[in-house]
Amino acid sequence: MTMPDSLTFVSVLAVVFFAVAVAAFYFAFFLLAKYRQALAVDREQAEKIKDLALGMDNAFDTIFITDETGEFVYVNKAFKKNTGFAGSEVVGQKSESVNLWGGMDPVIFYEKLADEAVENGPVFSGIFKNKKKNGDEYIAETKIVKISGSRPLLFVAVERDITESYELDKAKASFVSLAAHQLRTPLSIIRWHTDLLRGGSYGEISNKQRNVIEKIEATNNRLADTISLMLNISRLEMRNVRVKSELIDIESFVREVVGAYKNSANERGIMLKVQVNQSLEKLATDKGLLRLIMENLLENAIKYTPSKGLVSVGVVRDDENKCVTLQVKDTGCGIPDVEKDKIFSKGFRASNAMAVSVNGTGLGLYLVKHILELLGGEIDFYSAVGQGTVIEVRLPCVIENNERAQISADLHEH
Amino acid sequence: MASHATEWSINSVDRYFLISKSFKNMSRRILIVDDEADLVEALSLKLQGGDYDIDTANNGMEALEQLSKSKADIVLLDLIMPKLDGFGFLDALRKQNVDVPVIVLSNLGQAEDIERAQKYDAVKHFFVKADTPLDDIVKKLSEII
Repeated sequence: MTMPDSLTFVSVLAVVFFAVAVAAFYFAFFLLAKYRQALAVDREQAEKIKDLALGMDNAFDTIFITDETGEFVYVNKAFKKNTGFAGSEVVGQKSESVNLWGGMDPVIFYEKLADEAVENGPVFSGIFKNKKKNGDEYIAETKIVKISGSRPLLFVAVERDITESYELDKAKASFVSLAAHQLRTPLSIIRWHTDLLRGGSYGEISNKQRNVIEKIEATNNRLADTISLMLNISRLEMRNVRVKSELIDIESFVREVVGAYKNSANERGIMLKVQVNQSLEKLATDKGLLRLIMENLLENAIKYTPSKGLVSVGVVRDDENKCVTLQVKDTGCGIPDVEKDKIFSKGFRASNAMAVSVNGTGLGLYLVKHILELLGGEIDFYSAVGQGTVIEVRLPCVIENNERAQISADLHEH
Repeated sequence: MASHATEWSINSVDRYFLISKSFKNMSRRILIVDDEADLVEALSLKLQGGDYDIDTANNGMEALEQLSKSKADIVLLDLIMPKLDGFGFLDALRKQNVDVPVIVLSNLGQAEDIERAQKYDAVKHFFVKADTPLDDIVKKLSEII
């Protein structure tokens, strides 16, 4: 090895050593920076979590967190204030424990909770009857969110005591129900006695007398129908209607409802038809509410269609939109263009409709629209004065039962 | 002649007694429970045409007393009544294991009222009075008993 060779070797070694040292320094610096950055993020997150916890702790509503098994892992301050139980009494306990808060109807409540929360998406909300530590019952509106990303799986529940507004709703509903009862009682007395009078139970009657009695009966029935209609409307407005879904054969249902109007259409010289051109699958909907919709549309169509006219009801399946369209078509007086935007308002009657019939509440289509909102359906219409009207109702193939009304009805029984 | 006439009249009373007794066995006893006298009157009048014995009661309490005295084949029951209402009456029937079919005739007519009443096995039908002609009630009644 010559001198210059060894010099070269040493200098190469020195350069390499220097380079490694510089790299190591930068690497150390880089690590340190990363570490400081991570520390800052942690601190920031810790601050955020602290803020969140502070917010949750001091929230007005009751907030609690449970794990997958229903065991309480956190409760906020309002929990104690609203339920009477201290955090230390519940954390670590199962939420369905009957000795604890809730427990009025734990099986139904918690089974539903698990089903809804785990299978049907992240949010569950409902109204429950719970019990405070001192035994007082209260009505709680509860929303539960599944924190899917969390390990273990956590559920965050926010609960609000709505006892006051709930009681008020209940009182309103029972007032309306009782008012309807009181209004119907005199009507039933008139109905049954005129029934007997017409049947000759109070002695022979002349034809003229029979005509008068029939008029009294018709008026009485109209009043009874109006009371039922107004009762339905006030309940709808109070959101106190139970939606109960069941599978129905839509074609035979429509034929049955339309069949009931055959006589009144005949009497007025109107042809009444049902048109179904395809096979229809069963529909999950509320039979009673759908009947109300159909009845109101049919009554309107028959009432405002002149003699020799046609009223036809069609049912069409719409697979693409997963809905069924009901169409009620008449050759009646139609709706004037300038009044078209008002036809679903409460109490509205078209000017030409009033000329055809003085009897009418202007509540029918308003009711139909409200019911459709409950069923998740839609309504549309086409109309030309003097030619007729087509009302189209689109119903989803499946509707959900509304648990709020279900529970409200159950509460009425206690 | 006079003795013959007397004999005949005794016979006829006997026969009437026998006939009415056999009718009694055949005829059905209906208990109408309602606090509205005018409605009870109309119902009774309508049902008198059929082969029915009619008892009436003003409220649930009276109806229970009536039933303890004589059995009924069917009860026509109002719901809103003083002292003991229709639901209270149905509860008592269930408690006492009294097996009698009931037709509810009420002017309550909400889905939950109807469902609540139909939870009782005894309740066979629910009519809203203001919407129901008397003929419909007679028809339903004859289907049940």
